[in-house]
Amino acid sequence: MTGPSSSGTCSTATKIGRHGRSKSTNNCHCTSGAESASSSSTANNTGLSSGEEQEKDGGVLFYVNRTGFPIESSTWERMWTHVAKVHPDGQGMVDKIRNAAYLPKPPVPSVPNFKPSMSVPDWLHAIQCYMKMLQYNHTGTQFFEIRKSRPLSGLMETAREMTRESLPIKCLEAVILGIYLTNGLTSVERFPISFKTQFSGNHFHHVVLGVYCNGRYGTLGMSRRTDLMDKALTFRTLSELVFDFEESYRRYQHTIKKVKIGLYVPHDPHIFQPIEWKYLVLNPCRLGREDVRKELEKHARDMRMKILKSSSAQSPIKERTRGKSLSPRRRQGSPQRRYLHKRDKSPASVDRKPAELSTLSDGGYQIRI
Amino acid sequence: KKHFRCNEKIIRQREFVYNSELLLASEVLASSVCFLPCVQFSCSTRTTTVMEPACRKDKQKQKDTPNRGDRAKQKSAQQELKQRQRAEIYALNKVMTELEQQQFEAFCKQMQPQAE
Repeated sequence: MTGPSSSGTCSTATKIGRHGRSKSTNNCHCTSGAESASSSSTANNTGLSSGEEQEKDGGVLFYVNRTGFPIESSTWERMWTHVAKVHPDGQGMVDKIRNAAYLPKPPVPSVPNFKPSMSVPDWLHAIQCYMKMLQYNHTGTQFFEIRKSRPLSGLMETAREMTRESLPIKCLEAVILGIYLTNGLTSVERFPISFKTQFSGNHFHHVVLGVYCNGRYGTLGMSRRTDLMDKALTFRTLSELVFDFEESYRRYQHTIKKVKIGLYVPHDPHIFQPIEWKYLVLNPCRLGREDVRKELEKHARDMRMKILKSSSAQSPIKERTRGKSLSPRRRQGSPQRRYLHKRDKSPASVDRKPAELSTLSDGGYQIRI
Repeated sequence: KKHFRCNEKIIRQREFVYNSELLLASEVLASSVCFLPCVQFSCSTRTTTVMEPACRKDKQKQKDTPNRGDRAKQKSAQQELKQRQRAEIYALNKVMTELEQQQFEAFCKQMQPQAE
């Protein structure tokens, strides 16, 4: 899951986020460990010094390793500098690890191997166990670069790299890895589910991989919170699944601001088409629960009937009408992104936390997901 | 420089060499020529560099071998570095995970009385 976006920079962040969204790398933010609005802006300024390695999502900078493995020295040093600032023991903790003559070699978990005798739930369980063995990445530096607009084939290469390097991962990497490990299992459909939530005046982003098989929904994923990642294939409807996430978020005092459901990801790992991340965008705060349920069910039905196509899929030439513009015409049912209660194009107004709650997170902890 | 075949080389050695010591040396060199990339014979009139096809291959091999050797060493060093980095990452991740857990629990405790 991601760190907060500073309320102070929210308007600028929104503009940047909107323009750059198609190129955004991931939903994961990392500012400083003890998040607060003021400290995140300080972290942003600190991040600016390292040019190309920074990423922005909603205006919040975070660290990404873009140079492969072994990790190059500037990225490596930056990781340690960051954790030294975040951890109470600071440089002492860093030196203890870096100067250790001997460090235990972490075991390399075996990549799960699908056997025909395995049931789908067992297979999904094996995949989730594998991800858990990789561990959630709390270091503040994302080790694998994920560009959401990349073709699926490129993302599958990154997933392969994840299995080779065997390092901690975050939520978006887990989605890509989940797609990679479920490729070929045609009875299982995969689609991304993204959440934008608010806590204590800050926005957080998270993504999991929805799975559908034999009339049941579930998820695969990674999160700091165990009830916001994998869910068993027991939900009869997509809305039940999403509401379960909403309930889990409520336990951490997060309010869901947006839910984005993508389209089924093709099983062919070599196609050039990017993943459709946000075919349906819902604002639960503005819609009633019943309306949210209806929209989710409609989308789920449309996906099951396979009548939805990604906007990035090209329309065949035969559908072009003579005498008219040669630019591809959208097909009937080709995706017009459905924004229910259209995204407010004005700078996002952040709900200010009530004064009595402000003391809880001032200068301190933010419940990140 | 001229290149000769092995048999021709032995014959020509003897033609060019006048000094008995050199004659002995060249015979020794000729017999072991296959193991050397290049054998140089000097005589009073000219210097001839003899290269054997086998020697050419050996020379090529010796040229490649240092590169291959270097590459193998580099690869091995990279592997070691990756392994060390991985060990440090997981050690760090353990510490940061514990920190996150502690902070979360402390936050929840702080929240509880307020909720009550």
